[in-house]
Amino acid sequence: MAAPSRTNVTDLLVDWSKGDQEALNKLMPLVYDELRRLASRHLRHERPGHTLQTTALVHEVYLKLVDQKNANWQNRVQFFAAAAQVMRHILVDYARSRRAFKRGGGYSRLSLDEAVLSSEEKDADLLTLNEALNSLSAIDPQQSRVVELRVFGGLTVEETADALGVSPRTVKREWSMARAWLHRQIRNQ
Amino acid sequence: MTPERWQQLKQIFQSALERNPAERSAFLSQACAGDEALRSEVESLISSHDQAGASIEAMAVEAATEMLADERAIVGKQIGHYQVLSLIGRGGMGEVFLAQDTRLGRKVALKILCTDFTRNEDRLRRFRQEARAASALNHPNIITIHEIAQEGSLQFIATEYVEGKTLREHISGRPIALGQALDIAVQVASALAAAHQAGIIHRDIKPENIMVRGDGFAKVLDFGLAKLVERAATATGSAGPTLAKVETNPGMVMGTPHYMSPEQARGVKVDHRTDIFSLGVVLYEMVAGRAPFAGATSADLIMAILGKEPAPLQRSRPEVPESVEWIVSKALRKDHEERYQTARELLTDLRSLKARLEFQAELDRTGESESRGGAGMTSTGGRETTRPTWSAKYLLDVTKRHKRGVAVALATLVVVLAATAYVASFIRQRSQPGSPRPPLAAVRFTIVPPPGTFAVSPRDRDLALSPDGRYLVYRSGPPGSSGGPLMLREIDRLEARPLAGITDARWPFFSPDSRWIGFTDGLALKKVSIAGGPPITLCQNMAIPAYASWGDDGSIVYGMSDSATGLFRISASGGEPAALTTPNAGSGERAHFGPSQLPGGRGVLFTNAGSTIDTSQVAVLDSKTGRLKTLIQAGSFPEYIPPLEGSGRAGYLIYAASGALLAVRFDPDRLEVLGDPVTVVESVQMNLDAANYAVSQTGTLAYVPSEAAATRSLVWVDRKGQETPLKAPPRGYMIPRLSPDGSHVALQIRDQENDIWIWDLARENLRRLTFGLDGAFPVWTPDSRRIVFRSGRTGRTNLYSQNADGSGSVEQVTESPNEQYSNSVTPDGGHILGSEVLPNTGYDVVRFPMMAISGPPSDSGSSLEVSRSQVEPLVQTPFSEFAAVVSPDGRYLAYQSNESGQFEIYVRPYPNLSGGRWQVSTAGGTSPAWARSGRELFFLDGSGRLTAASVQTSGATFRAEPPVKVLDVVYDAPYSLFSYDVSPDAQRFLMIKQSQAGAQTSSPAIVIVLNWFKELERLVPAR
Repeated sequence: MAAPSRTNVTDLLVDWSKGDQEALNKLMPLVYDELRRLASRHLRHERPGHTLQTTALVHEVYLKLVDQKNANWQNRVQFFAAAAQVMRHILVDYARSRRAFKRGGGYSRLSLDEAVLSSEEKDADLLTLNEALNSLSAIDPQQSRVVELRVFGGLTVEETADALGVSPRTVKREWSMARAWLHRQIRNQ
Repeated sequence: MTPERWQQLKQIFQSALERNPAERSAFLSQACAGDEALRSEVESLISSHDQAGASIEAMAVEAATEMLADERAIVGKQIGHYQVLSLIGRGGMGEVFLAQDTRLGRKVALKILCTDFTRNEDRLRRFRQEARAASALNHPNIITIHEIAQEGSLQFIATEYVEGKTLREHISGRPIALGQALDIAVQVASALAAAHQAGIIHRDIKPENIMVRGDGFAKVLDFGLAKLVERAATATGSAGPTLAKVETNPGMVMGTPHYMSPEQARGVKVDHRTDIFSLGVVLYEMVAGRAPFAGATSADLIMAILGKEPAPLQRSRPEVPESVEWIVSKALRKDHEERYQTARELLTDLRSLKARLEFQAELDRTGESESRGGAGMTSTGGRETTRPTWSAKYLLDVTKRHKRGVAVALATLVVVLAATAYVASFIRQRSQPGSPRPPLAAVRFTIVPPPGTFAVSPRDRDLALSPDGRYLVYRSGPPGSSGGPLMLREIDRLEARPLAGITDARWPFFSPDSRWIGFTDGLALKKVSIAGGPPITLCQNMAIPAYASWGDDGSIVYGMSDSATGLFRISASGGEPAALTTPNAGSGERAHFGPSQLPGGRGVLFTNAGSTIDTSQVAVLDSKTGRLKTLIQAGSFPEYIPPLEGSGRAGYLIYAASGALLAVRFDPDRLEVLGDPVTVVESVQMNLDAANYAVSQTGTLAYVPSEAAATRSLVWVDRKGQETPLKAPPRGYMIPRLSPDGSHVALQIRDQENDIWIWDLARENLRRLTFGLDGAFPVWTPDSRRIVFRSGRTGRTNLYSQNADGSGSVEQVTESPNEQYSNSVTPDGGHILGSEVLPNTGYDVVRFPMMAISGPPSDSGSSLEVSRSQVEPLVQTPFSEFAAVVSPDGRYLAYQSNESGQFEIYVRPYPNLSGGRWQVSTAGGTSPAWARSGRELFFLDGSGRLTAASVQTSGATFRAEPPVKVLDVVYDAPYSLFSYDVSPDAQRFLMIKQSQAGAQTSSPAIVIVLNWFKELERLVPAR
């Protein structure tokens, strides 16, 4: 695929904001590719053990993909909202495949060393979070969207509020309850 | 929890949080008003809130960090000649990366085996053994393995990178259109049939292991993987407990047990029939939207598989025909003795059902407005993708799309390296004179010559095998080039070497003693020793480079496809050629060529070419009597393989027809065909001039699968020659036809068979319109709503029509015992102009009324006569008239005729043709097309270049200026009819372009089958 042009992504965002779902279909892979590409490059040049800031990543992808001249606030929030969902699925897929990889392959049971076990726990955590988030969305869709935008998209309270069309105060309240509920849910697993 | 209670909880929780911790208890007492459950819920949440901190955010960050750290090790690196691009997933034995093959410029899926796996040498050895078995598989519906190799300490496998989704993602809990379900089932059954034939059982057929490309093509992954994993598991500990574990918790080893056969679930020995059961489960799930067996736990599920009958499909989908139910239930019999016994039987049933439903299911549902959403084959059988919404499901699809290569078959390997030793020993055994032929199975492997070293062309036979089976020679140069150096390769070596002093060779062939290679070089016939030395010229001035065969009597017989000549004979030591046969033009014989000499000078097999590939015959020249005899009615390019010792006198006649290779028993003394021909290779590259295969006398087969040739893509070309490719994937495109409104392109796609597809220019998707109808020559009605096409499905080639959006039924428009072609629809939509091949006058321009013949095709004579009377001949001469198109104003008819000796474009007044006749082209012309303005008439000149003449149709009489070349590039072979179309504004042209090597398509490959006798004996038994 050719590198996505900025105008292209901006146009897609505009089309999407006008209700064109097809635009989103085209947008997603662009965001996905860019997220991965950028993230890989980031880590290749950083010291080991450096943690990755999803927030920084999403922002950087945004700057790269969206034509700043024509970007408006609405675009940006929509972009982050889309990126948050993409990021969530990238990570969940990753954890899931790795778990399958470690458990499923017959051979790996030969050599479950310390390192494998510990990262397997992390995968499990993320998958548990994902499931808990799914349960939460059944009870309170808005709360789960708040979590998604904040955790996976790195949106601030204000940005989240804009993306959802609610007040920052509501976001704060929803966020604190969602976080408590999820934490309890995960702990009780 | 009710929404009301949740709201209550939320309010109290949030209010409590906003208070000073000291005040909370009092607040809660008051707010909860004695509801202790509510109070404890709030308190529990508050305590969680205090503990939670940043843990939730941290989870995501940590996972992201790990993911990227994980990829870091390999992504971006160069492994061998692969540039690793990104991680696309993890499988049972390693990680799968998307990589760029820097030598061939194509994308591949690279599976890197984890060190845990490769550390154990014994396991690695077993893995390679298994891989060798799996390498026997070469089938368009089985993922292709390019290479297994080692780079430093990394063991890796490169396979075809399939762009698509797994069937799992396609199903995702809802039924899919019946037509599509059957289409996929047919392809999987076809893959299984090929695998079983090679003695390979898949053992783990499930939707996750079936990739479905955007164009509807299905590819089965992971052949043999299940067995490997099983073995590895067995090796991990004492066999007993591990096996028990396998049985009770198959999820550990086998993934989901939903698709297990009863015998698999029991843990007893399985055979190929386990795959038939699993495919039955998959088909059931595609149709019903859920698996046939269910259980809360694995144990329950297994009990269901062993003991329960699935709910009838009609319970989930009442519209499902009885015959689907029947096929599924026969595949799902618990006792494998009662099941379909072979995948081929299942395939046959699925295919005939599919073909039947296409016609019937639609007809049964008469004009319901709901028809679009129903289960009808034609309405939903296409590749309509449901429009994804802003939902998690969609995102999943997006992320999954990048994992399309994940489930790369670990065991489906073309292990050229590993197989080589085996092949070598095999050949040595075979070449020892007098040694008994070993009872080995047929072995297949694929040779992919480096780019630019295999000049595969659909017009030539580009390869030859030595009679002793030791050598392969093939033509070198960029794909599609017309002559080049020859490469010689010993089959058991990895390297091919160029033969010195040869630069422009075509049509290579071997001497009977396997020591010389004959070929044409320019217009000379030459030979060269494989031991070295300069080429020796046998004959200087042949008319055209020719297809030749070297007999054991020291003569070379050759013939030329392009000239109306017969076979010639020349001594292998040189001299003057002498005519051997003369085609009888009066009885429709175009040329005699493609000879293959029988042993002992008994006779010469050859192609008696008619005007089309379907009317070509396999014939034999009897050397004793000098007579010609037809052996096969529709076939070309015969070869003969003598029988295995001790298996009778009759050998095998191999020949090509309809893109396949067929075999039939043949008595080389009496020159008689014994029994019925059987398809032995389903896809071989061929056309009128050649079939790209060769056989050795030791039973080795080499061929170029047609997929390699079908890498044609669509491109817009403007009048400056500037190209803009369409996004349609490379396929075997023929005859692109733009809809009059310019929104869609109807295409004939030739894969295994012809069918009509529709490319949507705006939405950029490719949708299949006809299924298994052998659909060809699509033309649009003026309202852009319907497609008329020709179909050979009933054994006759008549015209049919169907709505372009796939809705409604396929209607038969004409019926005749004569071959018919659709060429255009008149601007008023009232008539179809086409061509009919009449017994006395050949191809004539005729006119059919645009009117459906009611009911499905039948053999009754009555409807035939009715329709016959409605066919109006417009231009009827002993010459061939074809490709009639009426001008936009409806006043003139353009068509091509070969009355002058070659095809030229002529124009006549329409509908009264007697008022004049003007020749528009001057240097050959086919495939006329009018500009919408009516001011230009386009056509392909004799060289195949797009040409246009300015014309005037407005005056009393027709006037045409001398034609001018529009494009200086030949886009398709010169004889390809309608291989272009003109945009509505006549400024752009839709052309078919052969993909460059290095595009994302597979490069041409040569499939080698050793010990092909094993297959021939089974498929074509002696009587």
